[in-house]
Amino acid sequence: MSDPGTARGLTDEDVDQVTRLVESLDRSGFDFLQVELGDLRITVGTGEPPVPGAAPPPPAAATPAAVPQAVAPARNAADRPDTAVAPSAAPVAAGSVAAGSVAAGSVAAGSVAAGSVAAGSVEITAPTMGIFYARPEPGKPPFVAVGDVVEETTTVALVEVMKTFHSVAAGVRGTVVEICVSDTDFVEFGAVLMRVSTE
Amino acid sequence: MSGSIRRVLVANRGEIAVRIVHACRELGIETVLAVSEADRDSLGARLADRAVCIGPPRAPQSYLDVARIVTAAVATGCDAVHPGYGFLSESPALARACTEHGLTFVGPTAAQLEAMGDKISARRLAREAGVPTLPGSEQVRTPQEALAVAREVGLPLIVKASAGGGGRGMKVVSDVAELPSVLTTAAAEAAAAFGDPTLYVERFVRNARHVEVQVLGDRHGHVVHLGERDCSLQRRNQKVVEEAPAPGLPLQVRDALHAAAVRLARRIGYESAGTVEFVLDRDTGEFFFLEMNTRIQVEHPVTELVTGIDLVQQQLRVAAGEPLAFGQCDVVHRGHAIECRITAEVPSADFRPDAGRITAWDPPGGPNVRVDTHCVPGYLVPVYYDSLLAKLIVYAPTRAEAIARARSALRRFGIEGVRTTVGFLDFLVGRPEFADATMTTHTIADALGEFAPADAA
Repeated sequence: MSDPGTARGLTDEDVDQVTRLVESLDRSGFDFLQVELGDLRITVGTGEPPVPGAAPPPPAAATPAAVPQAVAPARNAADRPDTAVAPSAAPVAAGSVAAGSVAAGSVAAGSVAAGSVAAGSVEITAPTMGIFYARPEPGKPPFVAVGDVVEETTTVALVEVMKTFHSVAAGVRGTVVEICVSDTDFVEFGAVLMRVSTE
Repeated sequence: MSGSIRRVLVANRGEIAVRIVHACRELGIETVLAVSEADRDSLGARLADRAVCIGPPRAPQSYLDVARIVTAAVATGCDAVHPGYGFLSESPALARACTEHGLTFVGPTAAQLEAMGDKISARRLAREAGVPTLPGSEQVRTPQEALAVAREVGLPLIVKASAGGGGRGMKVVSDVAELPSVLTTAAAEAAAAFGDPTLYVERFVRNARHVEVQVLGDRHGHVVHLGERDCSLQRRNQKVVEEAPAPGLPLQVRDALHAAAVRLARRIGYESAGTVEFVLDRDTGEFFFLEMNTRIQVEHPVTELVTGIDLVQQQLRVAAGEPLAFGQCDVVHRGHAIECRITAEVPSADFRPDAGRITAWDPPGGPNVRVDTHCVPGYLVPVYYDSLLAKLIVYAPTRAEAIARARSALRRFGIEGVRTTVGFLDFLVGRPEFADATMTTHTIADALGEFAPADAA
């Protein structure tokens, strides 16, 4: 197993293992699977890779059980390659709106290509679909503005679903660099609400 | 379409979401499809005018969340919500929330959903409407009460959850000694599955056919029936093959079934598409009320093919307040239709569900072959939902020709990437019990041993 300095070849057994992993992932509905086999760490999946270090690698498993990645409230946009194929998790584009007076004229359709995002910026996404409120009450100042410094626990917005309000915590320390939606916009689940610079 | 529905939120997924989008488009109604994160790239999402992601893949945070559905409908300017089948389709809470927010619920009223959703209440209403019900009980609270019922109606008995239905929450008892323990576990299971431990008891019919009648009512007091369907081929109380009309029914039984279904629908002023389900005792020829489903059903296409009436469009028209455009004598039944439910399951492994990516998808074509599906090549079958991939529905002038057409179409159905029940359906439709129309609700269980799956290797 330990063969320092040389690229380790895969045994037939390893190949079988990997094949089984790919198959079980394919059937699981999860996007990624990370497994350590001895000194070999394997990540298989489609679309954007999981953030390195965001979650500890799952314990080495003898059976290829699919391990769900913990869903972090904030995703590190800088770690996402620009070339990533559109992940299935990307919210649908808002472009395909039916003609006529769609009530929510401005719809946050969430994560666009990360190309224009500054390094070290983290997205805060909607924890539920609903109505986005930038301020605690009408007439009150907003929870945060661009340039504000936030802590992990800072409430940055509310999202309302039929009179039930979900507060959105920043989930990260940093400076708000962009607020992507307007007060009272309808947001989809997972839509990017704000970007926070962690530098 | 005249009037009041311009844009519908489709609160469902899979093939029925596609079906509803098509029906709306033909009526000039716009569609917004509520999708979970797992269904963002689904066929329905592409076909709808717009898709809105309402939550994560698991249904309680998406397709079963009344608040999110209603919020999405209001926020996207919809004036109506079509719930499809399953999920919230029979939820009085959704119907009521729609009304409170000025949305039209495409279905019956909340009160009608409640009356039929509680199976003890449904049984009572059926009796009041002069519809035969199985000998049995109201709510049973103690083993002593159940034993008294057992003495009265005889064994075997079936213990059912009042909040159940659709073949779920039932247990057959053939020995009185088992009764107390079955009641305890059934109550616990009913509480866990439906949030309500209430049970009732009925006589169990051993040699049973499942026959159901499609009804359609409007808000102006009209109720018609669209004939019956036979859904006897079931596995673990879930329908597998359905057909219309039900073969070999004596004319007077058929007429009596239709009349009973219409009486029950009229009794509650039913105003949408609905199905009254009956069990037919093969030994005695009697029929009894089972339950009423207050939604569009999976097997609705067989009725559409033999009547030429688009049931989903009728639901939308009725919801918009239109009176039915036809009366009972205008409903003409012609020919025979069979539906096979193709699921992603492994027959050789006790029908274990098989999620995964569909690498090849090649449905059959040809005259009078209809495939209702949301699948396309490359589609990833999610692990979160039921395993229905497609419904193959065939039509022919006679039943024998319909069987031949179904088998031929099944054999042309090319699916790779996930394992399916296509081969099993071909086996079933080719069974002698099906050919001579002597099938019962236990035909599948009895015949399973003879099925040699091609995928066993």
